[in-house]
Amino acid sequence: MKNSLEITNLNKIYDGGHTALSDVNLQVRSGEIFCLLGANGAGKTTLINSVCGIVQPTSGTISVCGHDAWSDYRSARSKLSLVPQEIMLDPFITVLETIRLARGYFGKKTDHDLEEKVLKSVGLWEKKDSKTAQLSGGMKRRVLIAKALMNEPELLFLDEPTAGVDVELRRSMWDMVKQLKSDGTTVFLTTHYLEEAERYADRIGYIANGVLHFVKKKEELMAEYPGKSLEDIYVELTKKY
Amino acid sequence: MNYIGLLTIYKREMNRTLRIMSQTILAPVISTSLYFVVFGAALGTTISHIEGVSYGAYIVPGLIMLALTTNALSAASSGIFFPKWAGTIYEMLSAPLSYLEICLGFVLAAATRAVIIAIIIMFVSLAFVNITIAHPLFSIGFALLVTLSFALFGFVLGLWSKSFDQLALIPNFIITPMSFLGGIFYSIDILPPFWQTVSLFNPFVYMINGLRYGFYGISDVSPLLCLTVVAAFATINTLIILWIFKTGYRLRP
Repeated sequence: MKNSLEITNLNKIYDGGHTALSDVNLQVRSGEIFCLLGANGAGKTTLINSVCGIVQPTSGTISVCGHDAWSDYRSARSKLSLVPQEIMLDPFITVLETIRLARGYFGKKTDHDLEEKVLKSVGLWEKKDSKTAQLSGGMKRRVLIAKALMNEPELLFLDEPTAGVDVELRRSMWDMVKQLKSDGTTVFLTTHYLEEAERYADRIGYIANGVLHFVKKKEELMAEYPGKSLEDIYVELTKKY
Repeated sequence: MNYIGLLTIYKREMNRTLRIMSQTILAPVISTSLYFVVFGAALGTTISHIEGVSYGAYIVPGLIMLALTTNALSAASSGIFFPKWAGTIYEMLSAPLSYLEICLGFVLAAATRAVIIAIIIMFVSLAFVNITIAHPLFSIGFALLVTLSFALFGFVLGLWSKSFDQLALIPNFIITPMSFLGGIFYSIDILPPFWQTVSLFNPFVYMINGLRYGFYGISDVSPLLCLTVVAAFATINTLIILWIFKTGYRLRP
């Protein structure tokens, strides 16, 4: 099976000496929903940011859809999009301007049909001319998702995408993720909502203190802990590692 | 080259300039115009000609240089600082954009803003004084070189700054005093010998006199030296930017 993401011997040590990632090796298969679990500060966001070009790895290699993420960064980054954990938006521009800029940075021409399709898919078409500062927290998170979709990515990173959002948005977001998967998009996900991971992930990885301890098929992991939910399993993992 | 990406950054910055036009264009035009009214039209009538140029006309190149440098600096520094501060810089870093494209987008937009302001100030000055430009090509080339240098410097400043205080530190306490002491309103020849020597260490003396030479063919220092100093300043900023590109300083931890 083809891999959308291949990470080999990845290390990240920040200037202060903190080791955020330690010899991480990981393959994410094309078309799957991969969920990375771990406590706050375990290294999930550093791993994602290393792939997306936001953090410089100390050593190791990253390949996105066959392109090295650093030596061939243009090809690699054109294949991926990121929905960050924090809500980071320019408060002075409109929703439409925000997603248009996002597509422009990727070197792609304005596509009005895509703008309408994406904004309708996240329920923001009616708010397209509103400044992002005027939106609720949930709506701002939808804008982040819309921005990521404007690149039409092959590999989509969702870093805790449902943190602090209501049930309705969470459901519509998961419907969208399922649709993306059926369209062939690979989804790399981190979340603290373990019931969502249990429901939607194909494979699960567990990271603690920068060390990726395992990657398993969800069914294999669940079979190792009969009768337990993923939340119960997660609690056991935090004690073990 | 990601031309669409570069143009997107440029347009984003120009839209920001237009969105807050009262702050970005109107305010500097009005404040500089006040110098014409006070020093040119009012006080200027009591001051004799300097090297055959009326005082009102004499201060025009210096005021244009002041507008170009301060506005290029502030536009580029705030341009890169704001996405860094708001966290939206991740959009550019995770896109297929090179450091050069990111830098050019901000620097060219900052230079454009500064040139627009300078052109307006030039036209405003025509309402008060008569100006004939002796060396138009030299003036344009020299002014553009200074503007781009300060936009590069602003980009470095915006990257270096961790807070709004730091962002304002160098413009308020170094650039503005140096520009005013660089001979906008006077020829350094009127200073006592000691202060004349001190002034020669101020790069603004060369920037202002370079443009004054372009306008009227007069200068306190050699035009070639002016060009050399500005080229050196541009080279230093370019080298710093290249180092930033190599290391990812304050862009990619």
